[in-house]
Amino acid sequence: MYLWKAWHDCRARVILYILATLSIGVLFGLQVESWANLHAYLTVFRGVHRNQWFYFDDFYITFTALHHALGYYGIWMHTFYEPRWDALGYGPLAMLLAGLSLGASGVGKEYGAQTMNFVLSRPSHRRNFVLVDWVVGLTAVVIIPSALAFPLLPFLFSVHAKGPGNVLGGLPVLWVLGAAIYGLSYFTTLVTGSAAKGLTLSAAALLMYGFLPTALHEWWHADLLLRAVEWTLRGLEDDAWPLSPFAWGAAVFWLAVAAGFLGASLAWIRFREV
Amino acid sequence: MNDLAVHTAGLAKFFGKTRAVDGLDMKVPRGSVYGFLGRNGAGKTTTVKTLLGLLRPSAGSAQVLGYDIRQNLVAILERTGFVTENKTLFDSLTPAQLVHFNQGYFPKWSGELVARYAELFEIPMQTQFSKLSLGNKTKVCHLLALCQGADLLILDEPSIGLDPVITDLLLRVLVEDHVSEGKTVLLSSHQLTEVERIADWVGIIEKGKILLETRLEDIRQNYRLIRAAADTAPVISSPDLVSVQSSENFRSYLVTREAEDFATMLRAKGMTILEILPVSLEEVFLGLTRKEVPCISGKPGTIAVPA
Amino acid sequence: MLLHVNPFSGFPVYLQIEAQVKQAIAAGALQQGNALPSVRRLAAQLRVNPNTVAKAYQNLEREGVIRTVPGGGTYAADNSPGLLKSEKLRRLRPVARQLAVESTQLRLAPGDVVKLVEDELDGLGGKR
Repeated sequence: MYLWKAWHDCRARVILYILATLSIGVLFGLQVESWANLHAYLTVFRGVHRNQWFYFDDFYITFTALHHALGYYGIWMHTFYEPRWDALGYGPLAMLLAGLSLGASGVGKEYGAQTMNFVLSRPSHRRNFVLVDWVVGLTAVVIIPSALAFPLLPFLFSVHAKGPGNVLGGLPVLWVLGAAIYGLSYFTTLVTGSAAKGLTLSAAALLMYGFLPTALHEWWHADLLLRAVEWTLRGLEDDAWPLSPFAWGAAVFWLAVAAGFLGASLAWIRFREV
Repeated sequence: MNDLAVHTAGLAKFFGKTRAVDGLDMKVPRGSVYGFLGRNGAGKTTTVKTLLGLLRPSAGSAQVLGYDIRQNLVAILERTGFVTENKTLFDSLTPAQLVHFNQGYFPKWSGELVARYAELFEIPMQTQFSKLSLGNKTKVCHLLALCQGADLLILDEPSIGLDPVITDLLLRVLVEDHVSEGKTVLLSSHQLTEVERIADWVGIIEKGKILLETRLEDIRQNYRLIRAAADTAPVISSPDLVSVQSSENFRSYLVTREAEDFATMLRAKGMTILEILPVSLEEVFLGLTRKEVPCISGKPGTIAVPA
Repeated sequence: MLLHVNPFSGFPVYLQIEAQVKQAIAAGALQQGNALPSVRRLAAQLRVNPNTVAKAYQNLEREGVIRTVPGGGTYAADNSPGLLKSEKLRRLRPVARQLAVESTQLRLAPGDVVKLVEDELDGLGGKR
């Protein structure tokens, strides 16, 4: 059945990504300068940030310790909004890669491979092929960035951190953003009929999303788009936490975008002929 | 449910200005082997794709196995085995995996037939599809369609890449395991000899319309080629006349029935009858679809559309 | 029973089948009571449409050459299907006429023609 096939197609990729993110998580999670130094750091800084309901500081401190221990070997990862949760700083990258890559292994590639005739002549409503793909893809998009966090959990508990909420609180943003990027990539692959073309189109769309508002701001002093885009990316911003609650607005926005792409894909496969 | 496996009425499919299928009235009786013939670009593949819901019809209606193509497509697909014109399947899977993929869709799938055919047709079941030769790819496509337990088999160019031995086996399997069970086979092929062998109905499509749809028996028993000679050139017009070929004083008339009466008429017009021959499917096909104009103005005969 | 038909010879396949079955019976290769292959089996063997075989079998049964048992099975019937001699002669008359026409065309004497027929009958051997 198509579920099996969809999984078979992206299996290698998904496993690779999960292993990659897990190992990053393990790498950061297990390396510590020394427990004693760490404890010292935590004692000092805990006092300062105690009131914030949502903070990474223990984690951040831990990471800073690691950072000092390992030196700046390029392990530090900046996304262009410089999130504080730095090991999870790989999160956006993982999400981006996972979303784009998995979307490109959706049913759209069957057009290019000339197998769409075969696929669509199976006795199943066309929408099922899209839905099945989405289930597989979405599951992977959720698991992959999360795999960064899970190796860290036992460590966090053991240093009396406020709890896993610190780390896990950042994940839902990654999930919805990942879903939206997956949706974009899936749709472009479906429309263009090939993974390569789909990826190009998706990458272009993402760049435009980042670049256009800035360009408008710089050259035409039109702030509106920039502000809108920044609002949608609040979940990733450095300053968002702990001062503001979880960026529900942005999360809902991205969910809507993801749903929109799903709807568009369903409509497309219904109407597009082979 | 009626006794037609496929029934189209005025079916049409346009691609912009191109009228690939243009008012097609096709009737495929259940349990028959229907040879669906036509030149390249005549509309065969477009028709088949429309029947299977891969294309949406521009006009007209069609029922396959009693189900309307616009309403109950999934029911049609559950009961129809289809071999596409280009024999492409998932490159990254082996035939064994393809079987595993396909069988989930069909409750009447027969694993026993898979084993039998895999051996009979010498299919390498564990080799990745992309690495198979064209002949083997074709075999795998057939395997997937033949083991479905389908009521209707639609085979588009079934013998591409197949050697004569395998083609022969395929014909045998079709006759023994499908036709004898009352299943319908719609065979679209340029290999007219194969079609002539096992078909009992034939439908010739040209420019998106059915030119001729009749039993093969009718062609064998009634269609005749009348070879005649004459000094003068009588103009003949008859609904039974399919085509005329002429060369110098010689004429060949392809008629659909009552050849003797036609010959009598020719004699009455002063022609000498040389011979009355039965015709093969190929000759009928060529007579109907050949581009060269069988009659040039001033010379005898008219092109008539057959009954 | 091994038959061989040529679908492209211009001679209808069902007639070829009928002729070959009769030939087999006449030559004794197919004895009274022997089973014939089923329509399906023979059609598959010959790679022809089962309707063609069915038609041949129907004609043969009507002529009394074979008989079908309800519940399956087709068998060679006994060689005297209970027809009157006059009926049998009537059936053969077209073949005889053909022979007469051809031999006249070739200017053969009647005696030669009779000898020819007798040779063929001898050649069949077996039951007559």
